[in-house]
Amino acid sequence: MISAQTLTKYFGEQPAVRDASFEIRSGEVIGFLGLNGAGKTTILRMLAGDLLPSGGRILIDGQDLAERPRHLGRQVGFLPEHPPLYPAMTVRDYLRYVARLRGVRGGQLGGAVDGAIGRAGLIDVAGRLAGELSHGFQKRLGIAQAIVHAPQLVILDEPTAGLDPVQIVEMRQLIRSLAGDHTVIVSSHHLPEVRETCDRLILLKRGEVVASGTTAELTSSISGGGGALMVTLRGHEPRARELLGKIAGVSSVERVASVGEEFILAVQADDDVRAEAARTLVQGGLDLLKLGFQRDELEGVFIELTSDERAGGGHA
Amino acid sequence: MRNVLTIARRELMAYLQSPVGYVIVAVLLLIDGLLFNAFALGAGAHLSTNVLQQFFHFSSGVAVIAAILLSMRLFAEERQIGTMVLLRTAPVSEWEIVAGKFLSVLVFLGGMIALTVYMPLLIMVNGKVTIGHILIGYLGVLLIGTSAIAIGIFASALTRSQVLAAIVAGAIFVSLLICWLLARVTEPPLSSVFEHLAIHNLNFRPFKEGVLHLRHVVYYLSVTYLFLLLSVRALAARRWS
Repeated sequence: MISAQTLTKYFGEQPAVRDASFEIRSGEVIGFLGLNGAGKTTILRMLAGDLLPSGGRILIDGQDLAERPRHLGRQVGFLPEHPPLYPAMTVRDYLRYVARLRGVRGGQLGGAVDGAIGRAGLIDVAGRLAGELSHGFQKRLGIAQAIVHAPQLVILDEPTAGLDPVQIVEMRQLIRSLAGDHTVIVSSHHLPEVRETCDRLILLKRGEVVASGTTAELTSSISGGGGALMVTLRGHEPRARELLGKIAGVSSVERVASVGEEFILAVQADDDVRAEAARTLVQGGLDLLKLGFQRDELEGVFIELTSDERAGGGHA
Repeated sequence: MRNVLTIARRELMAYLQSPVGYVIVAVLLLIDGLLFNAFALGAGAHLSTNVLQQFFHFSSGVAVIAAILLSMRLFAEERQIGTMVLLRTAPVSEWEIVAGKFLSVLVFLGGMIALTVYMPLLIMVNGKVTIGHILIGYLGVLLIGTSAIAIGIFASALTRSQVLAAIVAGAIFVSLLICWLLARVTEPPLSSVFEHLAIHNLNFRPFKEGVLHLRHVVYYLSVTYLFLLLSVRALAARRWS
């Protein structure tokens, strides 16, 4: 549905986005992930038609955004990081205005506004002024204005920024609920955020796409397949390594850390060897303190791909 | 046209729902009335035609100040509170955005000017002035106000500070105003150019005297069009940054 081809944006002499190319299919929830200054907001603004690219092009359903911006504007809903609200307008009046602005007319207007209010959970505050709403409700209103005209593409820039933990969970549910009816693009520099809500991730670093794929694809592209089994033990380390190395399917055992008598081993294996490893270690007289797959493999991928220490970078 | 009306309606509601618009109008109407009472009526006998001319002279100044104060927020405020993105990402052209904003101030200013009608009516009842003179005078006030709105919109499109927008608009207007002074100190043909460029002196005088020349109407409409066009260009340029 959306194809970005060698998208480039310069602010003065400074490149904010360089030759970014990616494809997004209809109905997907895509996460743009990168550190601050990676170019996420710039790409999102260009996709929303808010900013013109210096080079490259964006195709939506095969149509160039630069050639038919007005027509395609009806197909896109955009929530910037700070919701674009008029403080002195009520929630309902504001949504009516935005819907009209985006081409919703006549008999469809009331239904569109009510639908957006219901979907964003704003029924109780529909008569209140936008400026009097809490930050969480203002974000919700921001999402409501992005979906009020039933666009194909909904773009949300840092939708959970500044929300409390409860509001973050609610916002995640709201974003997930948009999938299917809309193609959704979410940006964040907060990894757990996009991992929870997105089908696929696009990783950015200094304005370039360094990787894209599902969580599993990204993890496998770095670790070469399969996550490490992390085993925390107390006892004789060489004995533990020997026992683990004998288990069928285990390809390597490496020490990750040690504190006093305790140490952590990373076990690479083709299969799930948790049960056998636990049995073997306990029978071998070692104190097994903790055992489980590395919980935050994607975190490692994120740091690996976006940190400056990594030499080069390729597309997954 | 629907988009223009949608934007104009929102802007008009913003004026009507906020005290700022009312305060501006109330203060300026008060000043207009005081000027009328002090100078146009004044002490002693006056020709009713002269009183009417004085009234339109003061009213043109009040209309210009109101236009600049009302239009300074149009884009500066949108950028200040971050709502410009709504207009930029909507299927609406820059011309429709500018036209909608322009129309809202024009209606509000038109309403304010209409509230002064009791003064020329007083002159008409008590003196000898024609309805034609009154209508042409009001047309002149509206036209100079229209030009000031366009200048105000252009200044507002340049900055996110409303105060700065008002200052820039005021500076542009004063530059056009003092052209008549430049006309005095320069030689022909330059003096003639300045004379015809002056936004008030030569171009407004016929209106307040009740004389309608198409060239003066064209002048004000040209100034309005030029600054609206510049506003559109300024908005389009913003899409690059």
